Amino acid sequence: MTALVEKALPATPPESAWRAFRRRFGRQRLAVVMAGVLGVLVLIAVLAPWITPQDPNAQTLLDRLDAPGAEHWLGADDLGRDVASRLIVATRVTIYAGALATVVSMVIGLPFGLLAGYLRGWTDAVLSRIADALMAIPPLLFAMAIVAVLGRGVTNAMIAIGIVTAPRFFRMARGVALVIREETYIEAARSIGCPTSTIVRTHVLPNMASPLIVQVSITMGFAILFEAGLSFLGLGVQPPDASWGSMLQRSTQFAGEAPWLVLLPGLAILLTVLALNTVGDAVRDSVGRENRRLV
Amino acid sequence: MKAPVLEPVLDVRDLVVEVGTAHGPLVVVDGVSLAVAPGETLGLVGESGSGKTLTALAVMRLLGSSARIAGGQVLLEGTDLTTLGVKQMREVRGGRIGMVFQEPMTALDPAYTVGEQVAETVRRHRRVPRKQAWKRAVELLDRVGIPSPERRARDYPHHFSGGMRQRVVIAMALSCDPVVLLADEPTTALDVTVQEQILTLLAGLRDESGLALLFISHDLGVIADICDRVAVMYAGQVVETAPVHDLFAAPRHPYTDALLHCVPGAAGTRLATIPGTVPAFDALPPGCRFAPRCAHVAPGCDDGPVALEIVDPAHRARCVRLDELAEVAS
Amino acid sequence: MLRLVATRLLTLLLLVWIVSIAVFALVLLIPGDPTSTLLGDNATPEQVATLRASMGLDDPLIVRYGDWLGGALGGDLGTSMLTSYPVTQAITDRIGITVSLVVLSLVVSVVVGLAIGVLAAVRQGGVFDRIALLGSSVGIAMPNFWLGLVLVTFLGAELGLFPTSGYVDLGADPAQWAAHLALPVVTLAAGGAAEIARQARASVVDTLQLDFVRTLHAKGLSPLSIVGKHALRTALIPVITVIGLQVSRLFGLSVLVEAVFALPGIGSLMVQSVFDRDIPMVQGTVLLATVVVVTVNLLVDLSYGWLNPKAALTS
Repeated sequence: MTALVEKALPATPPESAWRAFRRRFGRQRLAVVMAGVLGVLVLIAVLAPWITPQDPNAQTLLDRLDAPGAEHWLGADDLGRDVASRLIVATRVTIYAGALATVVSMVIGLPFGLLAGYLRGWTDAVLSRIADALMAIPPLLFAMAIVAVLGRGVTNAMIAIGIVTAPRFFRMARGVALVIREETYIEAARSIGCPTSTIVRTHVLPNMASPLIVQVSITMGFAILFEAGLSFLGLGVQPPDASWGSMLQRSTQFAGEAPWLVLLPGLAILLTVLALNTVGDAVRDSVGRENRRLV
Repeated sequence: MKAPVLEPVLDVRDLVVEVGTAHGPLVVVDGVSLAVAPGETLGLVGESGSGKTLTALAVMRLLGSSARIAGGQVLLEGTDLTTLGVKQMREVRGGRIGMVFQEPMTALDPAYTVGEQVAETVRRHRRVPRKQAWKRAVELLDRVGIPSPERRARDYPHHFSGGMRQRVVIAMALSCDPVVLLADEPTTALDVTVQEQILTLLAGLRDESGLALLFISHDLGVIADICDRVAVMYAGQVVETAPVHDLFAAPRHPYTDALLHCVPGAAGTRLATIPGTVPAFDALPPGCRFAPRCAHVAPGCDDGPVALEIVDPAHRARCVRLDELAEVAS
Repeated sequence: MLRLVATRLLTLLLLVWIVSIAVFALVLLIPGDPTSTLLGDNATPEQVATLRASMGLDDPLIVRYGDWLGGALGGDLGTSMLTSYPVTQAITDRIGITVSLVVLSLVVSVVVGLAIGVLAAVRQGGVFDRIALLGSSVGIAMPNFWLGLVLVTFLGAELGLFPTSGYVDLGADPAQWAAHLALPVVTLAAGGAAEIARQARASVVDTLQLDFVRTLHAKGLSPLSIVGKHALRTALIPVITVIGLQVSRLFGLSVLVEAVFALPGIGSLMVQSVFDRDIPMVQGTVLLATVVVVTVNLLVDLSYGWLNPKAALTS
């Protein structure tokens, strides 16, 4: 009885989904800070060529393994290159790599996922089995195998990671399409003869926004970790270019004399991935209950 | 008519339960006193949110982290449970007091067979070998009316219907011969025909073993079926308590009266509803808590807290206009 | 139960078959002629033709796939393009190290992850819970090979507590075997432990809110028995999924850990083969690793039946 009364009462004016999302997101202070961190990182990546204090590739052998100080804020590496400047240009390479892999992953995963979820039946069965199979291969090994055939280099490595992570977008898009397919308004749209492409554009895609943001941030973090790994092995970024992963490659040999060579790039990766994951989780938690099942 | 001649085995005195909120503690059970004697059934009736379930959970000291007992005593055979140590309290739960819950579908652990779950309770309170506990579990399942108990004991909860699961929960609650059984809306989630069977089972078990039954329900029909005495709760307080016959024949509190009119009666009679809603605990009226919804409200009703007045030795009601209204009714 | 095993086995075979196609299809992506990597740019057309014939490159794709798969089923994954060493042999020479590393890391990450997750859940909102939550976020975001580098630098090289590289056979010297694997296992297990801890915490917190937990309290059970015997069993179901995913993850990441600690396992073989563009070696390694991973996943899957009697029946 009380429940009925509550429902009958006019509730507070309905908050728009976007405002509710912003309110919930704003409450998670760590996530807001981390979103700021991501903003700064992107800014650094964009402005990298103009804000490096020194030439990142200039070798000054006299400064070899200099400790952090006035001359080199964050020290110098084994070839006397300025670590701060290299970290800055590496931000650009790393963000580029993460974004490239994520875009490749989306371009492969999303259309097939929507197709599988929307058409169901045989298409879905076949595509889902393939996605399962690709997910069963240890991702780093698979990425390495793709690099083996395509050749070393950051772009090839990121295409490889994009292929390896595509099943994640596939699953997400398929899930969204499956849920939305069942909604009555889709049924209604179809009954009045809306073409499939219109339905997908006007109903399916808008509903995908938040799960997409979540998946993008998680995949990007994943890609950055893998870029670091592949570059550490020498399969990704090639010298003299630097990414945080490739900066770690030679660091161990000099770790005793210059521990900052080991610590700084690793901390940069850690911070970036932590920021991506935190923001992704916060977006997931900030989505209204009505859309929760999609995320 | 059975009168409570025996000493009460469970005696709750002035129980106060507080719930912690962002704006400080809120009293949600306010000075509730109840007594149940062996072989007797006390019905606790009220709308959802009136504090019935919290009262029962407080007796078991299972309020969780957000609520706590802030005052009063819970005497079980003379021992105050509110002062017991955590370990001693665990001996009481399932040992001296059994409890049956509202939702039989979710009350059992899905990962163990029902036999294992009943036997576990036996082994918890009586240090007996595994085999013996199992044998007792099968006996108990038989006693609560589960057909071919030996085979069924090896089944998992999801193999049972709601009514059968409730029987299992009852078997578990009774496995160590408790002196008190708390039944919190044990039939609410069940079909009407199954409801009847479970009530008959509970009444039979009560009469067999002479346990004291505290039966919580919002359904007056069910209360009338099984209870000897009834306590009516409203907004955290007991507003009327009486032998079941007196309560139905001559309710003295306007809330009880209104509740009785809400019971679906003979076909064709219009079902009455009580206007308004139960007050929130942080916005209680200063005087009688039912006053804003009461058909007989008068100027004196808002003056201050109302005491539970004696109507006759077995009947009490919490109403300022007790005497005036009695005249109107008669 | 038997039917369940049979269906799962069939699914597994289907999966491995698709993987084999994907792995084989890698050769199609090779830009240019694979023989040029072997013979260099100055090879005569005759040399190229002979090599192509001996490698079977002139046969139609389907025939080549059939030959490769047939061989693989019989345990023959072909020979190295550079050394003519049998791929199967090269893998079996080294797999012991990788399996030791992965299995030990899995055990450590499950034990540590579960312990932290359950404890955090029971003390929900407390200091330990907050530290665990932060720690697991960091653990998940951290590149695990970097942790290895830090450990090598500070515990190995600086303090000399552990050997920093190399491997000693278990049979030869168990103490040295353990010492050499200690840091690699910690490195590899950290990320997995963090993910398992996170999932375990969330899952135990959810389970402790279920109705049946109240029944257990009403039975008079102790918190230890409620969490350990009952809640954990239900809570483990989603955790098992995460553990299954860890197997594949650990196998992949072991490549990096092997590189950091100079362990001569599958990972280092893989790295070398990728540098050499030794495609048969790469294909064989990926295929074998996948078979190991899906087999472990099958075992994980079957444990569902024990944890959740309802699932065993319905699927």
